[in-house]
Amino acid sequence: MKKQNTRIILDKIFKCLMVIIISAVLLFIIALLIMLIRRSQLILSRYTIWELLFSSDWDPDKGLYGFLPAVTGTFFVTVLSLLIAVPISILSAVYISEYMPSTIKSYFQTFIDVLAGIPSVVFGLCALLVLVPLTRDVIGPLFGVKTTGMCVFTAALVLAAMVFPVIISITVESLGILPVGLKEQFLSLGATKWQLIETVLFRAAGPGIISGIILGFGRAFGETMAVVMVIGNKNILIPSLFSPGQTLPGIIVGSFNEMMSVPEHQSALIFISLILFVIVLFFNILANIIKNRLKSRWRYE
Amino acid sequence: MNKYIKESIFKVLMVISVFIVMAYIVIIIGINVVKGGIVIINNPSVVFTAPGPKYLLGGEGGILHAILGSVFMVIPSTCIACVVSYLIALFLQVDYIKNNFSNKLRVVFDVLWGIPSILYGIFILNILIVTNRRGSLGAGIITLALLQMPVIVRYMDEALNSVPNGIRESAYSLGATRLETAFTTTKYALPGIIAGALIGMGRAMGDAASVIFTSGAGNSMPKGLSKSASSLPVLIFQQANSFYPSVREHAYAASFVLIVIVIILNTVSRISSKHFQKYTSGSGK
Amino acid sequence: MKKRIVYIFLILCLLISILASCSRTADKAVRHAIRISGAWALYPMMVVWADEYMKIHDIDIEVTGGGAGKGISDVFSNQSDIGMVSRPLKQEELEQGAFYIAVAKDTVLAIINENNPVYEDIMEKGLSPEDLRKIFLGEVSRWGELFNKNMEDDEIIVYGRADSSGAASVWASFLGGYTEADLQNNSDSNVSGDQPMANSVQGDPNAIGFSNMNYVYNTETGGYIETIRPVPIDLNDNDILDDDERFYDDRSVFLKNVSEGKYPSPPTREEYLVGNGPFEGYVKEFVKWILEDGQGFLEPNGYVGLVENEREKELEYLINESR
Repeated sequence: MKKQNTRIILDKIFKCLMVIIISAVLLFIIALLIMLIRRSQLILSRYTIWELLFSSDWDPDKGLYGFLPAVTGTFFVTVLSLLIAVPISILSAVYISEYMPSTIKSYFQTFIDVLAGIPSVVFGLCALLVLVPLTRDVIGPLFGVKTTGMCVFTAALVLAAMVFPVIISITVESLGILPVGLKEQFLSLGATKWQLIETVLFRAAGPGIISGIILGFGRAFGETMAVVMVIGNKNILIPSLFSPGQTLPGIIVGSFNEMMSVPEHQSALIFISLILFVIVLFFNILANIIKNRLKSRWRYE
Repeated sequence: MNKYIKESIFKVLMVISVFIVMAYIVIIIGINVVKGGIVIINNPSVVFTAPGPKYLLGGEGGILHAILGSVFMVIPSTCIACVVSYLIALFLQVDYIKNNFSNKLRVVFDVLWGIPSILYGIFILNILIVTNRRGSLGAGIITLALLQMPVIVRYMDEALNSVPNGIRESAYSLGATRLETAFTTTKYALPGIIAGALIGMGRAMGDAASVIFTSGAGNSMPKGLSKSASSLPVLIFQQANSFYPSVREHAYAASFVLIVIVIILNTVSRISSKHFQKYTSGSGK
Repeated sequence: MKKRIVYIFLILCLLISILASCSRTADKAVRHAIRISGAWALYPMMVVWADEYMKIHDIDIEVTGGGAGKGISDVFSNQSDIGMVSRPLKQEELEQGAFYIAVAKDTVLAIINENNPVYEDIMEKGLSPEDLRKIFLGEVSRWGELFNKNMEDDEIIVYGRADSSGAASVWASFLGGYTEADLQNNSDSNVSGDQPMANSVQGDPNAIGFSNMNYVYNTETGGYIETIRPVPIDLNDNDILDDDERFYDDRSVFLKNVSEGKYPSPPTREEYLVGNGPFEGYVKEFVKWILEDGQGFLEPNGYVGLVENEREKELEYLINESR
């Protein structure tokens, strides 16, 4: 009987412990957010949100903190990298899951996983060594543009490399769980494999693929190090393909050294990180909603 | 268009895509092996020497401070993150809370996973500013622990979830408490749990953005929890564009070491989850 | 299962004890430590000073870079005891209690590549401050325009600093009271740090940038470093380099002219050591040494010392703990 009681007590203790830890973690996160909001108030008291968000002059020495160029730069680079990455990833994933013999398939998946695990700085380093000279000496002249190689295009190329594994692995997985019967039915009607893929599989695996793309977007949006190393860090409102640009994480990394000495500057940078957080949050929630909606619309059973 | 022609066109496109992806991988690993590996082969002491006083100006020294810094930062942070994540993952299981609530919590952790790592750095930096402390090894450990938690929670959660219900139910039917059942299911979920821990460790090893603010990023050997420390990714970031060739080469060497460590971690993780799956999946004993 | 828990627990203990012992050995040494961080411009000199000082005193000095802004930031957040700042302090920084002592002078130069399309012209005639202003603010886009020549492949590629750089601040003010962001917004690419800047100019014949003297003149030989060349400044804007404007051939000649005031100021600037309030204790001792014996190490390393009466004034400020 005694042993029974200790077991039950232990159980209750553990449950309390878990509740405490989870609440602690959640409270911690909320507390951090509140702290960040309070720290941003300094700059918000001196400038309105519209001035900050929509002005394109970033000059802390003159008291100008417009980070619209950083916002547009971030979106530009992210979208560009997705434009490069999505077709390539989906095509590769389809090939891997549908056409590749299963012996090679597992090797490929290992390679993709390796690519997924490579840290961002390593991508940045390789980009500095390979992509920057490539853009400067080969691709730029091809388009008739003189560029230093540190530009939006190079950043998009690097980001694409980081997005590949995300989209590929999710797409392969989504395609993999589709029932064989689905495919067989269609093929028995005399369709080619590609017709099967384009008409049926994309619809059936659609939600998975789209959530993969969204996840890829999220990764590209938040990537800091590799992009900062190659983007040229210039606050241009509408960067052209081969001009340098600026991203939100880039401003933070570039200026954080200056953070302490001028309180207003510090407040501005914290506000930027808040904005980044809000965008990512919003995005994730949107992604979840889209995924659920699509799941119900594209049902195949 | 003739459907067969279409098929061939797309097949070609697909093969090209796969080649592009493979090219990226080959180039990245190739560069690291060539540039980094050659530095290490020519001068193996790079990995074992501490930086000298004029290190950043092309003086003598190696990357030992970054290697040790990485190790001392990542291992404790993964341990902390694992313990906390394990408890959270357990909690998320059916036994403790209703499905609705646990799904909502899962969404929270998914969102946390998606946050760029730089934001974790800013979070902790804020605390450091407010409490008037400096960037240190300890702060770096906490940042990395926070960073890994969503990842590890997700993996552990999936692992625990995929344990067949039968095991849980038979444990309960024998009168086990929730805690004891939890331990039993853990035994089956262990491969997934270990896989998650290793992936988390890999992510922490490679992350620079979060650590660069909070760990002090110095040029000296890690001397204690409250002193500054560097790490391999931070070193790469700082030295990649250096004017002095020897300093740049150290960055390549560090990149090589980092890639090797991360690849090993990831591979072991996958092997362990696959290997043990043979013994623990489905049929039971 | 229980065994495993015990094992994990033991390993955790081991790890924690390793970490704890790391800090314990540091404490056992009971050595004072001075942490210094800040401007890349002063970094090489500070490393030498720290080295020499550590030879004669039992103290630990840690020097890190990061830029002038970081120097001040770290001092305010108690991450460093001394901040190296290579530009005049800003109002907000002084308001927060920054205390500064000048310890050296150095200069910022415009740098170009020796394979520049108009290299000979520049070396013959120099570039006037107005020319430089036009270049860095994007008003002139081809090298040929400066000398009324029609050339091919002569686009000017301007590099700027993306990080909080004392050199950028001082150079911008020399060009006409501009700010760092003005330079950033008109450059073709911004890099973080002195070294990437030198790297970029070295790699591109059409490039122009700015950096402190240490990336132009080799500290040991006094000659030029690799393909980087300084831009001679035609101060009186008469389209030719007069004899007294020609002092860029090697470091010692250059430094002599800087200390005689022939090179404009800005971009000649004082290098400051900044503290969160007046320096005290062993930190004060170190700064005092820098102002006394330390000055002897300046010239061999490519820096200019303070003029005698300036130096005495700074010593006074240091000892009296106020300016």
